[in-house]
Amino acid sequence: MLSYFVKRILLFFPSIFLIGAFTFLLFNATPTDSVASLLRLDGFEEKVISEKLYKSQYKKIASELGLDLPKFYFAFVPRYYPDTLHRIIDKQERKQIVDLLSHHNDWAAVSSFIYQGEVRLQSTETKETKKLITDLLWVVKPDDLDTKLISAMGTLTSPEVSTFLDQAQIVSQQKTSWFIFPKFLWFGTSNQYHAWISNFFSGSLGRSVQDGRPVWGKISKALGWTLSLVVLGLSFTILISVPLGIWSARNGNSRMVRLLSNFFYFIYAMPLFWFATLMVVFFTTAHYGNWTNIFPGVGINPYAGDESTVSKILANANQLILPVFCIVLNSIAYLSSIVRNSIIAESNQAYKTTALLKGLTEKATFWKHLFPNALLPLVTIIVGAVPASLAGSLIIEVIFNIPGIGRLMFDSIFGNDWYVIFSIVMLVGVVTVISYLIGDLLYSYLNPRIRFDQAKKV
Amino acid sequence: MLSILQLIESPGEVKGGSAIYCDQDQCTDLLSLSEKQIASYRGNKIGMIYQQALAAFNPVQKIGRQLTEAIKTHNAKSAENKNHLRNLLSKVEIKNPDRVIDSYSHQLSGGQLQRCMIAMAIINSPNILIADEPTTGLDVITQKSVLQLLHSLKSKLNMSMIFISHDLGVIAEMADSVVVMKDGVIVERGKTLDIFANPKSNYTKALLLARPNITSKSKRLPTFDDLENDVDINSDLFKPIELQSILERQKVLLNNSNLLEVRDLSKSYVVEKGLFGKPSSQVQAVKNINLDLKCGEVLGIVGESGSGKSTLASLILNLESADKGSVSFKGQNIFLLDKKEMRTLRKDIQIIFQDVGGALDPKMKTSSSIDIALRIHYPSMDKKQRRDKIISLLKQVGLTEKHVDRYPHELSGGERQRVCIARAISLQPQLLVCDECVSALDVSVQAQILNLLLDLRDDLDLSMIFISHDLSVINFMCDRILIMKSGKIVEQGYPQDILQNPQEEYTRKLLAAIPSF
Repeated sequence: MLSYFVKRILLFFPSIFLIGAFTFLLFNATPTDSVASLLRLDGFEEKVISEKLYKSQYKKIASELGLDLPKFYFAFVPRYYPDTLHRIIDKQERKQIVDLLSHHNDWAAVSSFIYQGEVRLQSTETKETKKLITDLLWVVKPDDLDTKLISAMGTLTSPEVSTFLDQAQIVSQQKTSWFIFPKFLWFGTSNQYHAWISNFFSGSLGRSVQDGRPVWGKISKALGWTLSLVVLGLSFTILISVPLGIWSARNGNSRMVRLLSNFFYFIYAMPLFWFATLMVVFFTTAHYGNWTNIFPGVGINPYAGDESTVSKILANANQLILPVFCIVLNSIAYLSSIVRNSIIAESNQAYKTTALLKGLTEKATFWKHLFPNALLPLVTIIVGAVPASLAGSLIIEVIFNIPGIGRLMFDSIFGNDWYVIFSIVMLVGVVTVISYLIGDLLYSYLNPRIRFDQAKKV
Repeated sequence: MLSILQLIESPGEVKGGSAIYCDQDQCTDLLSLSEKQIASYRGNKIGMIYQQALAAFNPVQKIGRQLTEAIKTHNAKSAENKNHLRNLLSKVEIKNPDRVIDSYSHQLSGGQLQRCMIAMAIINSPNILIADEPTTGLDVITQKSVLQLLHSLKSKLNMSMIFISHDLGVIAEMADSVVVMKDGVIVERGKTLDIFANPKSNYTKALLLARPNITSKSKRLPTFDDLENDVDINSDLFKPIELQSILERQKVLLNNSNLLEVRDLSKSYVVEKGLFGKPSSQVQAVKNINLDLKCGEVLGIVGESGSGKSTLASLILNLESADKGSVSFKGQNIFLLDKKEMRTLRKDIQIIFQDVGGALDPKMKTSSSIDIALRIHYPSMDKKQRRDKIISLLKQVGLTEKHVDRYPHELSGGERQRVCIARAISLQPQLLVCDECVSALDVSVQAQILNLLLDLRDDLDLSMIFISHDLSVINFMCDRILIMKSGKIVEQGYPQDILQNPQEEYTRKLLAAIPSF
């Protein structure tokens, strides 16, 4: 038992690490430049301020975000790569260096070529030479470097440039190293992933590129709304499904049971977005006559007022009635049929006869033996439903315009707000792992058949 | 019996009649009572135990709590008294009551659970105890001790007991008077001694005669049908065989070549894994087994449940891989064969199981169950040929053409076992492994199947490994016997030697535990 608990808890950390790594990989694969978006938010437009200022600001923000760190704890790179390539922030520059390196497999030559070039760029005055050198350094494809160099030689004649040109000559020649076994680089904890995941757990998830506000603040506000939806929805579902399941298990063939379960399956079979839309049209407008216009129009303004999320939720509680109603009605069929089947399965067990033989009445047998045992599988299902409905709240929140996690996700996707998106993805991942952990531990605690090993006979 | 206590599940119902319960001078018809009233009789005045004690307990509640519940139900004021429970459990001869009280059902052995169930039934000192096959599924040694316990409790608590069993030996040991039932009707009743000495109905006679004898063996066992058809049961066929001819057959077999050679066979199962997946406790199911099987021989393997008999069978069939050792079939080590070679070899080694319900696909007709085996191993046969072959096979095992298109649920237990046998012999195997293949059948059907198997042995030149816990069945079937205990062979030899003159303590214990009449 203890060994199972320890094993299960130890497994928690690698799963979080892997989920994080996968999310981070996706995060890095997204094409947007979040530094540029953040600069724009602070009023630094590339076209408006001087290039030099923009560049230095860019660098400052980028290193604040830790973009000059290596991506992961380790890397496998070709043998001729330098150990510090990650320090180059500009994606284009990095690509040019990598191209140069694969053309001429010698970091010493490539780095001195770039160094000489940069020195020239700092000191040369004429715009023309500057442009030429920049071209040679960052624009020309390494394969074309030799031809471009010959034409540039005509213009660049001053003696100061000659060292640069000599270096360029060396780099322009192809050099292939034959030793292709990659080298292993170990960066330790000062890497982007480590910073990202430790920031995630310390609650500093960065800033939203849409409004510059901290991501955690946005998420925690949205979480309040979603959690109230999930908790209300789940509790009502359980409160209705369990008695319904019991009732239908005990009166299996009555007409009422069949009618009701068919009705709930009908709603279960309907796509949630369609059902929710019908509810909105029917119950919040006077379109079908005034008597159907029971609930207020959808829409909650998340920004109005300074009061806390809790008081906002309380103030808008009437707005939650219809969405909760949709969630509950949609999931009753599933949960109640599980309760029903579970009860029927338990009543076929021999221990039911034993209980009756002891002299317990049918009723006492049911409540003392069958019912508690039948609820065991529900533990796993309900615990699994929490993260699922956290992720699945998107449809309901969009349709009912509730500023929850799903809605935030939806808006952030359209606003390219990757910090928010991946924070939510990661949050849902972590909640899922934790829920299943709790579910497994709880189930094994409640079920002695798992708790104790079969082999240990008394 | 369930109907007396109003425990018949729908769609069954009690059509009529009455069950009168008399307590001193007050008599009540149990069937006319309301649910609440009958509940006050159950477990209080009438206790009941049945087979499969593991399923009889709620798996997620401690035994102690379930026992206490039986007291509280009828005596709401009685406090939870651990001492009372402890006394009760020691009354049913449980050695460490404290630990049992604190255990869940899956942590106890079958014998312990059966004792706990008895404890629960007698907890309120009922006047009647209904015991429905209480020892079926327990091995002989445990069975004996449970029966002894019931016997002593009966006199100690001054209970009446209704004892239901298919095993006449058990009945003979337990009952004062007997009622014989067939198809829901009572065919005979009387004092136990009278019935056993002088049975009147053919069915009772068949029950008594159909049980193979432990001391002598005959060529055939008389069945109910034989009696109904006036077959002369005093003919030589049913008489004990002379020792001389048994010895002759054994001598002939001794000179035959070895069909199967098992050498140093071992297999263990991991029961518990440590923190990093390393096995921390193992059960050695089969330990260094060596055995030879001659062509045409029937080898019996005896042992209580958990002795490794079935594991040995599945190793011989290469259904599981061994940890160590070899199994050679006609000189070929079957563990070294590749998949294709193994598949061709499967034809030569067939098995029939105890669980006849599970061994047939419930959604397949008899014909398709056999057809599938034929199609795999005789691809050249066409549909018509296969059908003819199936019908002739069914006739060979004593079924008729009308069984061809039936589903397993439309067949009786005996018929199902015949279908399994037909399927097994359809491939003309040389070795047939019978794993407790008659244990689930009642005595007269068991006799039919045993007769059939012996006929097939002679007609098809089959060699057999016959696994059973029942020594009298083994005696009837086998030329040689192995006694197994916790994975090891403890004794082996010819039935006439082992059963008359056992050398090992364990064998003696097994023999002593057999209920007899």
